Amino acid sequence: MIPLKQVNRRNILKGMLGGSAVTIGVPFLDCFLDTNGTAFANGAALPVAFGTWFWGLGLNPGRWEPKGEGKITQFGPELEPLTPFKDKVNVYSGTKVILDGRPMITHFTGEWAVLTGTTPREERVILPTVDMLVSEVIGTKTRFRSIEVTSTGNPAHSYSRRPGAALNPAETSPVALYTRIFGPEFKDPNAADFTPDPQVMARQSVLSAVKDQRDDLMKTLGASDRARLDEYFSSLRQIEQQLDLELQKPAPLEACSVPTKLEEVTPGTEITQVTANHKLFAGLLSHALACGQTRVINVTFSDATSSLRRTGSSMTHHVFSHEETVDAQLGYQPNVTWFASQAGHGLADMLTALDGIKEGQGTLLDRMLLLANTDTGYAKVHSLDNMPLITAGSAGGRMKTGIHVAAKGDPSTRVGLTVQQAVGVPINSWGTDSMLTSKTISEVMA
Amino acid sequence: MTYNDKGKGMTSRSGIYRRSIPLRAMILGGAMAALSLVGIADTARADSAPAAGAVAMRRLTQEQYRQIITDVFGSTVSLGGRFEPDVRDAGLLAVGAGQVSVTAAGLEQYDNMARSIAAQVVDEKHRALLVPCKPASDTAADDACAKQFLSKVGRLLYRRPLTDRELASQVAAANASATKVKNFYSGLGLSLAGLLEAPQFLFRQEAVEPDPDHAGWYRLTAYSKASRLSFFLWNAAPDPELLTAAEKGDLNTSSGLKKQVDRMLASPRVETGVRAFFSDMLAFDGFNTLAKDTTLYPKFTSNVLSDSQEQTLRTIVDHLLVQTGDYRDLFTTHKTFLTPLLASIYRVQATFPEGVLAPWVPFEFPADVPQAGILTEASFVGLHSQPGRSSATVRGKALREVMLCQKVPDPPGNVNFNLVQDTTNPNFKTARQRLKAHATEATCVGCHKLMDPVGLALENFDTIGGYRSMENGAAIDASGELDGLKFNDVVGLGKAVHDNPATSNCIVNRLYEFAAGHKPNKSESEWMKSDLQKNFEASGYKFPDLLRNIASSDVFYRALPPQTGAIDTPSPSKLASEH
Amino acid sequence: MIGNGTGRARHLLERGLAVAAVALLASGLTARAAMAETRGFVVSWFYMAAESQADDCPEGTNPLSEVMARKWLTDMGKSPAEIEAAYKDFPNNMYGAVVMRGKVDGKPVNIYTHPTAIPDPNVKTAKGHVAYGFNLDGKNGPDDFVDPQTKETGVDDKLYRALGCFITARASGGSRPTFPAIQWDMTRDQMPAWVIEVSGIEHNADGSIMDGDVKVGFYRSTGPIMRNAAGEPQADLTFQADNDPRMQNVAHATMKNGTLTTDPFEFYMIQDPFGVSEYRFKQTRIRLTLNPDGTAKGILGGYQPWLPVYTGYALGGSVNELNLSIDAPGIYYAMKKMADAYPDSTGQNQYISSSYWIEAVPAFVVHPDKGDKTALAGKVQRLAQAH
Repeated sequence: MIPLKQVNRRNILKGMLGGSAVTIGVPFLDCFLDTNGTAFANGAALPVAFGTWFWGLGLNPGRWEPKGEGKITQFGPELEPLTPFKDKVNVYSGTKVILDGRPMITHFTGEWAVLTGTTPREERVILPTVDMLVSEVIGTKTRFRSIEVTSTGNPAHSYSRRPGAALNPAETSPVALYTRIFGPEFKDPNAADFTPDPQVMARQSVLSAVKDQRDDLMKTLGASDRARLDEYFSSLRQIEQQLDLELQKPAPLEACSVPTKLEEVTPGTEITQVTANHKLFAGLLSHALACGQTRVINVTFSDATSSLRRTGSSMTHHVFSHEETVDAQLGYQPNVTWFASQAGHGLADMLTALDGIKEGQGTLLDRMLLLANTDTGYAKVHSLDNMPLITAGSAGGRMKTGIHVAAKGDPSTRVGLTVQQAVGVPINSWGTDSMLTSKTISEVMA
Repeated sequence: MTYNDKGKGMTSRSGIYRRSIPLRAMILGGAMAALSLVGIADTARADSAPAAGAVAMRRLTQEQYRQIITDVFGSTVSLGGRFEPDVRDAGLLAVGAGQVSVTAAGLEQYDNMARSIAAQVVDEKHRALLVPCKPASDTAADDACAKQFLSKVGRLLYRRPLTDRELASQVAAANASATKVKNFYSGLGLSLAGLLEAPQFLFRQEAVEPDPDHAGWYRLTAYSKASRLSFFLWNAAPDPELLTAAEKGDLNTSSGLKKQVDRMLASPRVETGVRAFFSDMLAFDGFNTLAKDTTLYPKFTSNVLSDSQEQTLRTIVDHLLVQTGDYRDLFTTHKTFLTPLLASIYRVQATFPEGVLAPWVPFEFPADVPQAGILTEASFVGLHSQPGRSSATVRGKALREVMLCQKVPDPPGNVNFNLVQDTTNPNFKTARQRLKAHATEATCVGCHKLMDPVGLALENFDTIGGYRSMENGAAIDASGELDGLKFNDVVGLGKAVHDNPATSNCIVNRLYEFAAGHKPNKSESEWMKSDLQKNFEASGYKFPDLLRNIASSDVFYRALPPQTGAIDTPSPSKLASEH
Repeated sequence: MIGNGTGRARHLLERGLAVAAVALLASGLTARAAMAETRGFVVSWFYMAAESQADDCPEGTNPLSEVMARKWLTDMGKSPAEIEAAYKDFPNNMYGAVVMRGKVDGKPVNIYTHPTAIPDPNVKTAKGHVAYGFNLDGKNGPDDFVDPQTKETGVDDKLYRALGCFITARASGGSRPTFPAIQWDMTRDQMPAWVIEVSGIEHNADGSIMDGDVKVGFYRSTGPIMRNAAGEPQADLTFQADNDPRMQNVAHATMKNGTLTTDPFEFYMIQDPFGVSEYRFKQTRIRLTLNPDGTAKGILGGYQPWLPVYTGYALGGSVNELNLSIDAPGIYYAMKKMADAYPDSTGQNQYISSSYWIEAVPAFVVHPDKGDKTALAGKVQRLAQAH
């Protein structure tokens, strides 16, 4: 006889299935029994949100990667600003863009290959970027399918494209964005009327047709197979419950509040201008997400040929990247590393804004997945190896976080595929030619 | 009298032989028929229970799911989404598939995929081709057209005709949906999505019926036979012709079965089935998580993962199906296929056609180069290694478990591996020296004796499969021993594996387990030994003959009686007509 | 050459199977051990050599582009307001502004295609005495260098003098100068790889390379490199040498202590228009050290026409000037003045002495048209020792 304390749910499961080695089933029971769970305990989970965050000219090899693989304990100096979020981000080092004999168009090939999964054949991109692919799936029911902004003052500094070579122009002015989102057309989501979606009702009737066959199927099965089928139908019930919730007026977005009016600084490429406006954008976008106005954002911190410069200086980050010599003592370019760490600070500002919005027991960042990406692995020589990629947030628990994944020269598309799957894009492979992959980064998939 | 009482201790297979003689005589020729006749004389005993296995309810694997969608809807319908991980049991994912269910997260993915596929099937681009009728109105339900489509597609997806209840329920769902969204095709698509996420589709649930010729014996229903056969040979659902053969009862006759087996074995789709089997048996799913230290081995790019598997599968398909060679020669052959990437890892010169992104060429290693057989390919030595070093122990274990179907015990809990793992110790330059020092610990000796003498023979291959003759400046001694047979190098190991009886018995057992989806019981094991293994040997270890032998055998389609209490009131006739 | 199996392949295998000849040489290992060895390489890096000294630009290096550009605009007669406008968001608004700074017949012209359309800006040139290379002219002049590696004196490398005070052409301590490294790195993925073959290598009893005569072949191959997980060319790939008669660079060399040095020879290779479209050297010398790990590294020196070098720098126009702080016409004039060999009818030297680093990783080089093969199994065995 089993002592009572050992009757945990694993034992129950094992017993049900006749003691065979079964590794499935626990996720469902986790949800079922977990009193802190989001699915059953709190009604509908808040929907996942997605964003891309771009900065130009990458980081310096050896100066950003966290120490060791696996759990992040310490970032490299250029990403140190992310330390407060070390449990909420993943860092991917060692991925690359593969040219397959195509030209290496500087500050162009890298970012578009990462974002579209395809290395461009010429200076023209016709495939949609990952944020647009995600928006097709999660962005269709919100007021804005996606919102693009840039902190550099130039609307062409956008790293978001629709299919067919159309660039989504980026908003350059925080004040203009405020008006666009929270101006007269803003409807408080908590006050809005609700109309049930007939598609959802139709899906309900289909699932009930599947469920109708349950008894007939059960009759023909042995005990262990019945237990397995039972689990299937428990899973089905859970999807039905999700649909039920979609047919009810959504729970109020308690974290939604209209931000106070703001004052922007004149958009421009001086680092003070960029940082100030980027912070304003970060706050506005966070409120827009919390108020359900959009579920997809795209932020440009600096452009690929980074025009960022110090106040009063005309030397841009890009010029420094090629012209500054590697300091023999330090082993790196001191000015370039300063600019690179500005990107680290910028990303930290973005995460601070997202994480500052409390939603239930978590934060907006927790149900978000933000993919930070860039155009090169080493700007000095335009390298497409060791492209820095960072994700923040867990997509509502669908990704593990706090992990450094050191890839082995894998195509960057593995990260792109992983984030798309995590937020529910129904694909199992992504990319073209050598960039084609069907392998997600399993280390971070929950 | 229950089956268990009746069959207890009995080993007779008379019924099988009685049925299978003419069949095998036709297939394998006179010699084999004579062998079978001997079998009858030895074992015939009237009224005994037959060799028979459990039925299985197997979740479709990813490849099977993909294949079915492509077969049914064509290659222009794409499927996306993530599959739940498959589970390995008794050395095979195909057996593990009989133990897994669908989690909530997994069903969410199936639901997404189902709706994505269904939406494509009924979209304006595909509907003319895939929907066999036009509704009276595009904006309203159409009972007749929905019924026509769903019964046709349902038969292919469920691998049997839908029952009346199932069809009525799906048509009602299509109608209700069409009415709600005011669009016939959307409603039809949603109902199709329902079929695609139903357990009848996602699980290969086998049904059993009493054998009308033998009171108390059971067999798979004709549709379940069709599924077993088709997933076995093609790793795909039965095609319409096979379903029709099942419907007509042809599969319950030896001539009808033979006709289908002949047809399916003659099809190029056998390659898909053979690839599926070997990918499973060789544990290629391990490549999904395989990582190497690229600081030490910068040649190891992600393409190595796919190229290594493909190399071995091409070698196998060519040797077993194209050349119809002796299975055991896979462990000694110098012939293989290479890409530029693999050639660079093996450090051999090979030229390739230009302008092809991933070219493959046939390649033959010179006789004096110790690269012979699939054990020396990166798919084996690379898969069974540590990230930064080779591992004689891991390789030895894998060789025994994967190729010889032997079980090596797991290491005890508190073993100190420092000596083995430290490749920089100047006192122990080679793996042999390190393992020797390690295996002086009494708790380890027994198991290491099983693994190391085999694995050390593969030490000429580093962790990514590159050839080396030295380690840390010391010459590598690749001599060893397998079950009493001593050899000097890896070529000798290949010959020892070739000559080991466990090698051919292992492939026979694994293949049957793959096909049947369960661990064999005693009666099946004895049948494999006396029938499959013997015939495999007699055929000169020809793999296509083994495929044919299993696919044509009576045991393959026989089933244990349904478990008492598992069925409420299924009358045999009802089961037979429904499934 | 053995074509294997394809003739027998039936429908099962034909799908997706490329049929190609597989080159094999199946002779015995023991027989081969006594034979001279041929080693193949693929060039991983080729770039202007520099060992910049702290004091070799006594008046300082040439200024950064943001400083140079102000002078260019001022010389063009731009108003202070126009200049400030061009400096806004530097260098993004500057690209167009500096192109037409030349004048022909009083009309503005593109300075990159007409570098002499402005007076010589007299850029700073290197004054030091340390540079890699060879004493090409056999003389030991006051303007010559000492090679820091071989200590050879009288080294001729006027290209370094011309470019050595532009910061993106400077390097020391084993680093690669930025501009030449970018030119190579950006083109090597799509250009046919360069390959080297060293034949006639003999070995001492301890396995080290025996001193003596060897033959060096430097060819263009028919396909590009493939990169490994570290982003460098994958080793041990097979490359087919292009039989283009222009690029059969074969020389006798003397091996000493594992380093070979060629006799002078004529060298010609096509690279890529983005970098330097073609490299032609006269009185070429190569020294190449064959490392125990199978790689090779060394210096190529010789006289090369300076105009294609200019084109390589000027082709990128203002993007190169403003992002890499070079002065295109300045480079033109500097090289023209520094050119030290092969004058034309006016007396103007057309060639400039120069030195380049060669870095290479092991590869198989085959000449299908000649039926010439690198020893296969010997190669397998030999390289295995190194790892």
